[in-house]
Amino acid sequence: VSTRLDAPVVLAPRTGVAARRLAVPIGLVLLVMAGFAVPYLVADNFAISVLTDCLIYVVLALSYDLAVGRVGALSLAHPAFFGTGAYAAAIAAQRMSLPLALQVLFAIVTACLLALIVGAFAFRLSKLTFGMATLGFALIAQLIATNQMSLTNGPLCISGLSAVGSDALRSAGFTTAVQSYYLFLILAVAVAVAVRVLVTSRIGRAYMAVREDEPMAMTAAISPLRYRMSAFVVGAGIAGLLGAFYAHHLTVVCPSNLDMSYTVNLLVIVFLGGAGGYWGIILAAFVFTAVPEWLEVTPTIRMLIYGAVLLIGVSVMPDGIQGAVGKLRRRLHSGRVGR
Amino acid sequence: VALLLSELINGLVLACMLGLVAAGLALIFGVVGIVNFAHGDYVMVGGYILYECYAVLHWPYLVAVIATVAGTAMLGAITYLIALRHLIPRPWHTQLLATLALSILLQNIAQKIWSPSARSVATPFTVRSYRLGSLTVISQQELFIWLGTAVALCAVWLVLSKSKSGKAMRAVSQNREACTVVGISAGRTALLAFTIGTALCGVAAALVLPMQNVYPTAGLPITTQAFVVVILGGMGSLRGAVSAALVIGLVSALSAGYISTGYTDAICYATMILVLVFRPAGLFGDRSQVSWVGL
Repeated sequence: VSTRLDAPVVLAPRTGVAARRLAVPIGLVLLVMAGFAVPYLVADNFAISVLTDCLIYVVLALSYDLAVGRVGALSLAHPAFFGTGAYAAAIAAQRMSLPLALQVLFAIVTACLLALIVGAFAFRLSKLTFGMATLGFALIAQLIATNQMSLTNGPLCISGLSAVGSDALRSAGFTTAVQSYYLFLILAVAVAVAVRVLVTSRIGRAYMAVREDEPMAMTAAISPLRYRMSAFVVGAGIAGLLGAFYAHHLTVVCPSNLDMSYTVNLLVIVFLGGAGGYWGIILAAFVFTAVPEWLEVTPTIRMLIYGAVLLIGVSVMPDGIQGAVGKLRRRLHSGRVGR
Repeated sequence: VALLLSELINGLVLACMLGLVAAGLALIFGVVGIVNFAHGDYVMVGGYILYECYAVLHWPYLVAVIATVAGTAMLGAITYLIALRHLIPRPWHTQLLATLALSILLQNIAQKIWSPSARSVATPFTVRSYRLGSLTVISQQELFIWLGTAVALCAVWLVLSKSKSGKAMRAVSQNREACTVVGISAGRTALLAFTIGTALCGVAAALVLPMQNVYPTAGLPITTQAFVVVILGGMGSLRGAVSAALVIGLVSALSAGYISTGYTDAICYATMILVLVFRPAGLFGDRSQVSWVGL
């Protein structure tokens, strides 16, 4: 039984290598331009807020995939780092009255430190127990957020954070929702580019080596623990960064920001998008965040559909959308060559 | 002393429930080879079956218990044949995702049928209790829980150690391929193990429900606690699961009594993590199997 989180290695066809190399940047630029145009085309505030949620999930899923897909460490603690970032920013804002830049820095540092501690314990274990140990940490983090009233205000939440954006822009006709949207669009693009650069660099190849064949990686003087830990910590740092902005987006931080439901959504996005992939995850982040919002049915029915789609999706496409597309493309390609 | 005694009794009751659920989970993991995140939801469904049989249809308690166990086992067999059977050769993250999906489905079907509000079943046994001097020591229901757990676990142990299909189950958990070679049907054995595992959920639900409520999302905390227990005991080890259930039950009851009810679960998770740090294979697990490359 294979226990690796391996995405199939898709060999690029020999033809049009230059075009393929350009495809990613061009696609990104087109997407970003479309993204910037959206508020001019859609006046609907609900649609804008749904798209903002989609962008948030793009960042969360890409950072989550660094650990899950790139080095094959199925962590269940990602929302804990996201929530820690949100709480750190909120506490820095209200108790220490730090400026926004320092709040964000504080959030990133806290999330990274927490990830280092969790990783130091959990990476000693096997893959399955790693998952359960990180789940344990996530649940402990949520319990602390709920019960440590003096630090987090418990279920009463930390509220009254300043909203995203500036008044100058608001008077220029940009609503808070639109400003939030732009903020998370810029953040999503920055993270998407950074992740792309990271995973195509020497470090990214080391991640792949650690995931695919640990003994082989060690013979190439790649320390599995160090690379696994770095992917885990960088992912947590990005989640912390996002959490800091998310706190100001919602203007309140509650224990529910660390909820397991985030993990479930992220698992769905990453694995149905294709773990260790890129476009598949971004697409899945949009599909699985937006479609449930636009299905105008009661939450129970919506979750029923969600569960059924998930069960069928996992059975039919074990490698996610990206894996399924790759398989389809290879089949078409080999069909053409075979004739 | 009174507090200590009542916490000990509470802890043993919790340990019984966890032991039953975790034993089923360990059996399913060991024999079927599935990481089942929907396990606690079978307990939830079992609770509703007991509610229907006892509180709505007014069957006698014993009959309702048997109906609950049979109903949960049947549900387990059906879900196994429809969906979970296909997950056996898949890597564990796929199993995690698919069983989470099953859990979402079961939760929302229950919500559709019984509404999100909590239901409880009051048996006369919960109020009838035995006293020692002036303090109430133990209710009849708690005695039933201990007795029922002992009977169910002994039955499972007898089946596993004495009967032919029980031996087949243990053989399959050791080496699937070799079993197929000597003519043991791995599929049928896995179905049997899954049915027994979910039947144990039914037993737990039927025994414990009179002391607690049932609601559609009740399954998830039970699942995570059962996983804590199974991992603490060593994956796939029944003996480990039962002893770890005892540890977790007592730890959580004592911490609820002496430290804080808010942090009970946190202390259980921390116990699991601490034990794993010093014994990565759990209390009774096979040490040689712990490596990042394996499960």
